[in-house]
Amino acid sequence: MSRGWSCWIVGWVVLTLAACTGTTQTAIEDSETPETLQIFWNQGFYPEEDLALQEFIAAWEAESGIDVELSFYSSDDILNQAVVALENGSPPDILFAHRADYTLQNQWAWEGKLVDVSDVLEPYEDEYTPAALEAAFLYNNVAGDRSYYGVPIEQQTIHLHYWRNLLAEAGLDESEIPQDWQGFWEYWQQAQAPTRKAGKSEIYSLGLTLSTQGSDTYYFFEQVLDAYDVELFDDEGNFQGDDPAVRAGLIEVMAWTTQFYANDYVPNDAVTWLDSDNNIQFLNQAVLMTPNSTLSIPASQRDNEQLYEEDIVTLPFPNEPDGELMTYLASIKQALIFSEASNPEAAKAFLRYLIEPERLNAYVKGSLGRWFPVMDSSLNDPFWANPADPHIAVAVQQFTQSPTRPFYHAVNPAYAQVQAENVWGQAIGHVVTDGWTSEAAVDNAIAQIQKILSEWGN
Amino acid sequence: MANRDKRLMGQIVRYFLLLSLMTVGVISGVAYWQSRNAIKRSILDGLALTATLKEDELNRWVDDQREEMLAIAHLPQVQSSVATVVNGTEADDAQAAKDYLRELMQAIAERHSSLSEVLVLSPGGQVLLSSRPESEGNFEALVQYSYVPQAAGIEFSPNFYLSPNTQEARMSFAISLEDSDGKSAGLLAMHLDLERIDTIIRQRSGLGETGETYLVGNQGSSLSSYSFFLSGQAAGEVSEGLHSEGIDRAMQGMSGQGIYRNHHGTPVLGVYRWLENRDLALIVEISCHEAFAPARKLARTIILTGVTLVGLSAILVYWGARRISRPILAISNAAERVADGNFNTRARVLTNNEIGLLARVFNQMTEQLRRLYTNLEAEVAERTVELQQANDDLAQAKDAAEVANRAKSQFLANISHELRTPLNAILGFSQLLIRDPAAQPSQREHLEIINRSGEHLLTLINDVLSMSKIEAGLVSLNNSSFDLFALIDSVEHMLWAKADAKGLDLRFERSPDLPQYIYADEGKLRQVLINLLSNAIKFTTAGEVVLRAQLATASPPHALSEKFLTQNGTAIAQDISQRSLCLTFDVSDTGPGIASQDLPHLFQPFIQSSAGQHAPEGTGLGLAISRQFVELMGGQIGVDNTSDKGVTFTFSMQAQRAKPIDLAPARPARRVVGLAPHHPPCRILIVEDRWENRRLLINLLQPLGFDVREAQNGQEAIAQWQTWQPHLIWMDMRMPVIDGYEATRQIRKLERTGQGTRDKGQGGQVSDSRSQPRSITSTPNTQRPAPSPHSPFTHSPTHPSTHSTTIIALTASAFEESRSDVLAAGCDEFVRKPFQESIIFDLMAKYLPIQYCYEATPPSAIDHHGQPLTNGSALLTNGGMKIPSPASLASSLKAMPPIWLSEVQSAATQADSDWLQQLIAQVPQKEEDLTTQLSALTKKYEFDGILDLIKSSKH
Repeated sequence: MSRGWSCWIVGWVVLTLAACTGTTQTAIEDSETPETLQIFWNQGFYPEEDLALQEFIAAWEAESGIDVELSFYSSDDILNQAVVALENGSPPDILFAHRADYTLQNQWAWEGKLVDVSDVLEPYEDEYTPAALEAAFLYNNVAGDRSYYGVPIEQQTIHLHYWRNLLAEAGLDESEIPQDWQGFWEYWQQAQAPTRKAGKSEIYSLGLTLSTQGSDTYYFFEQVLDAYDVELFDDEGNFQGDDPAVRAGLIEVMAWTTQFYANDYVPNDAVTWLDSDNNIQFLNQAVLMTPNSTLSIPASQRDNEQLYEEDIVTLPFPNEPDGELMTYLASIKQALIFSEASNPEAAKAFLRYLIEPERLNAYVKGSLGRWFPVMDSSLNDPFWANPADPHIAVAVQQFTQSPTRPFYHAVNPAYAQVQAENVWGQAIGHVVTDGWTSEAAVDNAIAQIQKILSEWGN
Repeated sequence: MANRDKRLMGQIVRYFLLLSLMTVGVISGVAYWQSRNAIKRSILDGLALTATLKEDELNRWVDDQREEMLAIAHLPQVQSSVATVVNGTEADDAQAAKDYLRELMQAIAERHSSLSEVLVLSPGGQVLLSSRPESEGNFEALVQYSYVPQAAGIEFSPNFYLSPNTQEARMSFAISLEDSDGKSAGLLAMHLDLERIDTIIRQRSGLGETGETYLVGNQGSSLSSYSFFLSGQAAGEVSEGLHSEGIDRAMQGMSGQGIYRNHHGTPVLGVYRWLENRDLALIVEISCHEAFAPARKLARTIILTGVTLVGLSAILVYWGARRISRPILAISNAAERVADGNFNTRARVLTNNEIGLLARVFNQMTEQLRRLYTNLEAEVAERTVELQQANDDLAQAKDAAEVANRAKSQFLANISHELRTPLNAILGFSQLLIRDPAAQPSQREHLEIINRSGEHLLTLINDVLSMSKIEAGLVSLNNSSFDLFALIDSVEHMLWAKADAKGLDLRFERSPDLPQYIYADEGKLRQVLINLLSNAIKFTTAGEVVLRAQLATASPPHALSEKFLTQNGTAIAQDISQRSLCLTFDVSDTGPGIASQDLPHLFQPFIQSSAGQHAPEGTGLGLAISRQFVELMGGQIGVDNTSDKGVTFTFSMQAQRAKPIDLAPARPARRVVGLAPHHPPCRILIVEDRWENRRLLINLLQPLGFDVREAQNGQEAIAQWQTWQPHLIWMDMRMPVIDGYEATRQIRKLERTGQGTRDKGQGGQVSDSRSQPRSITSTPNTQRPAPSPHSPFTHSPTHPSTHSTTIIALTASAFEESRSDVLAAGCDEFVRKPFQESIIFDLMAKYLPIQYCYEATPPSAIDHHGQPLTNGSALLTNGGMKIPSPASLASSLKAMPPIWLSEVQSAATQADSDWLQQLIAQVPQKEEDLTTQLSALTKKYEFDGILDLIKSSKH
């Protein structure tokens, strides 16, 4: 009797409490649906780039009668902004982000989040370099087929720069820079001491970005992997991390890369650098030589004849350790249209307008050589064809005389996630700041990659 | 009492407390939750308002800085001066421009609290002029600069970033300047001092003690970005693990509010905003602990008040409960005392309400109960006495019944002894007299009547005793292997004369498959057959009586059961196995049938049928005995009374197949005529209280040459044994003075002490004349010494007695003396009366080293088993012998001369056995069967049988 009565009371209490407990859920504020063509564009390193774009947009607005809402974001912010907008269901119509091609573009294409832009590219298929088309020809897992999911705008590869005047002041002869791999890097290490003696007391010989935030970190690391002929994926896109030889190669490259930092040839704060930081540190002559994934360093000093023509030198990589020519990793920057975009046709129309070869060349030239064109016809432009330009000429030489290949995400789209998570940057960080062995860091990175691949269903 | 008091009171108070506390708990819980929700709503509203205000302030500040930037850029001479400095064509102009700009920039930077530095940069990012001269010449990361659009309609998204040199958050606005050619003419830039933002953000306007507002920025190359505090309590703290629900959701571009744990793990109420175009999250939080303090305080107050009230109420409830429970307790105490048996208890009536009424009614009930109980006790005592009396009576009756039953058994045992013993003498001596040639024919006729009446009486006695034995459960199967054909023939032979006398046709039919040799109880089968056939003959006046014997194993059980129902209607069960046989026997007659009212009682003992009551003879036990025997033999008996022509009795029985070799070997039936010539004397003592029985044995043994003495009781027997040392004693077990048991025991005892042997060596006589043995031997030398060791007795007998004197018990009781009792008393062997002479001779030969002389010519195999000396119907009960069929005898007689026949008839009528012996001697040698039969009948004084034979031959 008493038990039943108690149960009844307890039940009543529970019901009462449940009724009184109104849960207040978080409210998400809706963004307004854009009524005009919305463009997220990566802010240029130089006002010229942005100005050039703004001019084209204004002309197109007048021509098409469609209003454009242009938002410039820094390289650091633009992808995050795009992801936020995408998650909120209001993505821009066009996204152009310098780091999209090796981070999220393949994934978006795979997930069917991008619009097929074959009809945009079609009139210019012959104009584009094969590498550019290859990079845009992506697999859509929803459609179950490959197609063009990006409009190539420009491309980049990795270059080396050094201060000729500092070498001279240190009494070193730049003509003695060896062309073999081993000798080449030893030369720069050995140059550190005399350079410091000659007045630059805090200079370091190498401006390697070794941070987890910088894409320069893995760009350089993967370029060195290629130099050492360490192939992470076979042609079918199968990960080779289980191969003991590949693992050994990874460990060797990891040890090789991190030993510069351990031996004090790289500035201490290189482990926190963003992509622009090695530029600044080089220009501030805190480092004697630096690799850079664009020509932004000389390009930024184009107005300074002394620096551009004389002091700053661009040079290609030395031969691979086995003596072969270096194969350069090329990154093709593409403009994307989201499937959820409000005005995909207008977006296509604008891109069609933009990639008219002359117009596109004008835009790429606006970066003053920081980016390289993706259409062969552009190379006829005196800006690119000028042999007197000490930097552009080297870049053209790199792009035209050495083989290039896209990053591994071209054979396995899941690899974009590996780069997005900066797995190699993390591994380098484990060695240089956490004191891990190269073996442990590599094994951990392999496990991370395998986990990512398995999540992608590979 | 005290315990119960506490129990009831406690229960009431506990229930009250439970109910009250739950109510208080529920009220305070509900109040807490409601106030908490209300507080949550209002606080979140406040936080949201704060966030909106701060966001607006932030935006306004950014806009202010942007406008400031544009204002500076459009100051007169600024753009031209910058161009001059950047291009640096003419040194003087350049210096002047530098001075102007430096002065201007320093003035602006000093006056403007939000500007930390104003710079002029080359298009390549090199600082040409700065309000902080020490940074001139350095290169700046132009990519992190926020370019203030000069044209309208372009979204301005200022970029917060961490200074590469100081790792401090900062924001840099820049305006790209063009020269007259439209060529880039360097940058005018300013680093903004975020202190102002910090102040805006940090201001805790009405956020209480724990309220906190902070901006979270995002740093990184791609998705592997991390969040950092741009402003707030821990501004500048770079932590890759900076996460909370609010931060994470805001950094994913979501805005909202809720309760979650902040980056320290503290539960907070928070509002988070993603600041679009700022790449920043604004978060306003206050700890739940502080936020909900009022709700807790309210709940605490309610609980305190409630508990106090509950306590006060509990006291009142206790007091009230006492008032209610006291009268109830008074009643329950009284009830307890009543339950303990104290019916004089009364409950106190304390109130006038229902409980008072309950007390009064309870008292009335107690009074009634007391009265009832008092009466009941008296009644129970009375009944107990009566019951005890009845029990005693019953016990006495039971004892009496047991005594009576024992007395009945004793009586039947005695009566059998007492009746058979005189009858033994009557029959024996009447036959002797009939044989006496001196008897007159009329006397002989009377003697024959006496003899037949005696036989009838013996049959009646046997029937009654058989039934008594059956009822006492003393009958058991005595199976042996025997010749079934011979049995049937002997029964036919036995009844043939009786049927013939009534003019009935007696037919025996054996089925071809009937086995000749079987293993069963021959005696019981014979008796059943005789009973049924005798009945049939008795009740049939004309026609025929037929016996059909057949093997029933072949016929299925139901076929038989359809035709012959047993008394209780069940089918005759048949167990058929390899050696098991089921035999059936039908006895049909052409008599009047059985009255239907008699059928139910047909097989019940002591109930005679209406026909039987008018029949000349019989106890009416025949069918009951037959039924018992048949059932004992594993069969069923039934009657078919359906036809008008008569009655058919059918019975079945279980038997096993036997082989001729199993039959008891037939010994040559030789008649002992005496001891072998020159046989050493053999002393036999007959101990029997009845003279006639002593005489029978004496007459049997003395002519053969034994030394025979007699004793009338056990005492005499002991004396005889001591003085005369008999070799063998025939000891009756029931005698006056000292019975056979005691006498045997004493003799054996004396033997062990050696007394007997000592006396006998003296050969002396006992002086007491009463114990003087009376010599009845024909031998003059009545007193012989005991056999010496060298006497012929030294050779071992077949079964030497373990004692010097062999004692064989004799008993006439129908209820068997326990064989084990008899042997335990010391007897060597056990013989039941009426005995057969062959058994007497065989046992003597078994225990004594004697040799018999036999008749020269064996008198055919009439009786190789021997015959009861006193049984007048010996011929009829002969078992297993080869009996010539009545038909063959009749034909043999017909072949004899009529004169011979009439002489035989005369001799038989006169019971002249000597004459008959002479006439039998005239029978030709080939008619051996006739000679044997006639000799047997003559020897048994069965003169009627001889007359029947002759009568049958004349048909």
